[in-house]
Amino acid sequence: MNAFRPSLLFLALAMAAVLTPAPGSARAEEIVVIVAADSAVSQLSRSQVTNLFLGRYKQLPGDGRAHPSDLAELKDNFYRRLVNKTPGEISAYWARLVYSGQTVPPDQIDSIETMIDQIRRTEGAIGYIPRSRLVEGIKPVYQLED
Amino acid sequence: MSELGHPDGRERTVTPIRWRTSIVARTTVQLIGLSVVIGLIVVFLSAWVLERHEHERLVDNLGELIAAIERTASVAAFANDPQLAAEVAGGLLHTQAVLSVRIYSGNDLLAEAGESPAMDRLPSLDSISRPLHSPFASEEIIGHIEIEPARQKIRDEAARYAYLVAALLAALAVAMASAVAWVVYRTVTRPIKGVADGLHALDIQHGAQMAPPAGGEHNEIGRLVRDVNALVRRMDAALVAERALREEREQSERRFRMIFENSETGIFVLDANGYLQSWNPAMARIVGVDRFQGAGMPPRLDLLLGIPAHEAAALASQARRQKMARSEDFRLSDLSGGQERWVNVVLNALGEGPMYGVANDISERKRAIANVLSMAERDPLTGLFNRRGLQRIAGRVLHAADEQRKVAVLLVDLDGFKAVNDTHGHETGDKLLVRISQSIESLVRKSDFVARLGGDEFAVVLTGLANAEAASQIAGKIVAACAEAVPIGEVVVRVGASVGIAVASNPDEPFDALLNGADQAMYQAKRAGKSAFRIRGEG
Repeated sequence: MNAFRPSLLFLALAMAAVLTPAPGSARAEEIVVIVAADSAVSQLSRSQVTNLFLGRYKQLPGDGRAHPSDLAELKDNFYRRLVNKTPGEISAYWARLVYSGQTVPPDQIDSIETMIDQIRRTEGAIGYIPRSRLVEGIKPVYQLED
Repeated sequence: MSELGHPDGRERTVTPIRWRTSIVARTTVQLIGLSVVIGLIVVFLSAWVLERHEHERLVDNLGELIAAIERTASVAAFANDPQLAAEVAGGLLHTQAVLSVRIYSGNDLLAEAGESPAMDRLPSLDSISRPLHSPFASEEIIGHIEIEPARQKIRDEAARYAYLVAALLAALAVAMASAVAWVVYRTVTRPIKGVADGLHALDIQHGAQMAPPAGGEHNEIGRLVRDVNALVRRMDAALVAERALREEREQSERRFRMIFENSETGIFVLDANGYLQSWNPAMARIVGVDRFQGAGMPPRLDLLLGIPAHEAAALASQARRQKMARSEDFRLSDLSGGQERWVNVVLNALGEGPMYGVANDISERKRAIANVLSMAERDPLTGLFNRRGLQRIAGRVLHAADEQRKVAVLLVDLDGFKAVNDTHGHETGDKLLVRISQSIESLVRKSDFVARLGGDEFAVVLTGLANAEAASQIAGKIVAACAEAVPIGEVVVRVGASVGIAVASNPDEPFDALLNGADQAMYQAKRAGKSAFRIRGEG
């Protein structure tokens, strides 16, 4: 009991510190699907985004092989906005495909910086970030409103 | 006895019940046969219904099956994952109703499993195709899944199921039929057959009883047996009573026949037309029935009695009308043997039918009566009429008299008879009276009558006289004859006679008056000196 109380208190403080600003900013902010700035792709439809991230299309239109990546902090929000599915439903979907081994889910990237870096460096990479974090070297091809 | 027949005799004449018509065989065969027919109908109907139902069920199952894998197939089609699609298709093949599965993503064949449907194309059942929707946008069709049903297998499956149920039903029907047949056989037909056989072989004449069927003592069949036994007992008692009655009747009949045959009285039965239907030997003897036998017709009563037919009919109708016996004496005229015969016949009506009668020979009695009657009117000593006889005859004679045939009464009184009696005794006197009576009788005609009125007094009735003179002549002869000496034994006696004559003046004059007149005339003759005659009214 004595050992548990400080850890619980700590967890509560940590959550308060991390989560309190995030929902406010993430919910309000648009998510943009991004590719490398030099990519042939300039604009994607919602359907194309869905097909790419959920494994249907393995090629970018007019470009090479697609490498979609999920951003950990925005993943749940992204799929809720894109296909209106809960994280559980998305996991269940992937579980069936993973079993066959033919189709694999997108890589998961923990930070926006890594994501941006990945998009800049990898050919055919596609990901998503909050609109406010758009920087040089990447371009938005689709915007998800809340 | 013969009308009843003996059970053994009956057994021979009645055809025994053949196996085919036996109640046991027929009932059992019909029960089982009917059950089998009904069972078969039920089996075929249920097989047909079940087969259709099972077929539908299996086809419905296919739809449910597709619904179950639809999501995974959609995922496979969405992700273009042939491996997952093949898994899904392969999984479906585990169901026997599925012949082959094809999953398309868009228009591309993603996975295929199972045999080609070409060999098994039945028109009744098309292949099933369902669209596959995107897992993320349900309005978007991203492919479709096609299932070829294993038509032959579905049909076989349904048929096998139907046949299994049908076989069970058939077995049930057979079992039920057997059970019902067994129960019916045990509780109904076998006891009934037993009762029927027992009754058939029952020796009713000797009051045999039937045993109730085992186990059925208290049901309706047992009651039937008890009732039959009661009936047999009653019948037996009735038979015994009837036999006794018959014997009694026969005995009594023999007795009556003996009486009838041996009776001295003639007994006969007469039909409505006056013919004798039957008669006993005495009847034949008394009226001589044999005289009329042999003509082919029964003898007729009127002919037997020698009377006109209407008289006999009148007698019969009187007896019938008065409802009492009618008795009548008949004189049989034309019987051989000379002697006249009298028969008394009593006729009695028996309702509207035949009459019976008795006949008795009364000839002897008639003769005896006649004898007695004549004795009473005769003088025992002389054999002449006595006063009573004279009076009876005189009455008749006087009645027949008229002017041309007159009647006269002569009163004859002997003179000196008392002296003969006193001198020679009564015996001689009696003999003298007999001789004188004979003399007087010899002097008159056969149509005249002589009577001894008593003592030495005689009376003579003369009939058919032309006149009084004729009477006087006879009176004179009588006086002369009486005056003659008569030898009686060793003596010779002599008497005289005084005669008074009275001639009937009119038919209404009583005989007593006539006799009285003759008496007075006789006294006049006595007073005139005896041995003379006087006529009444002539002084």
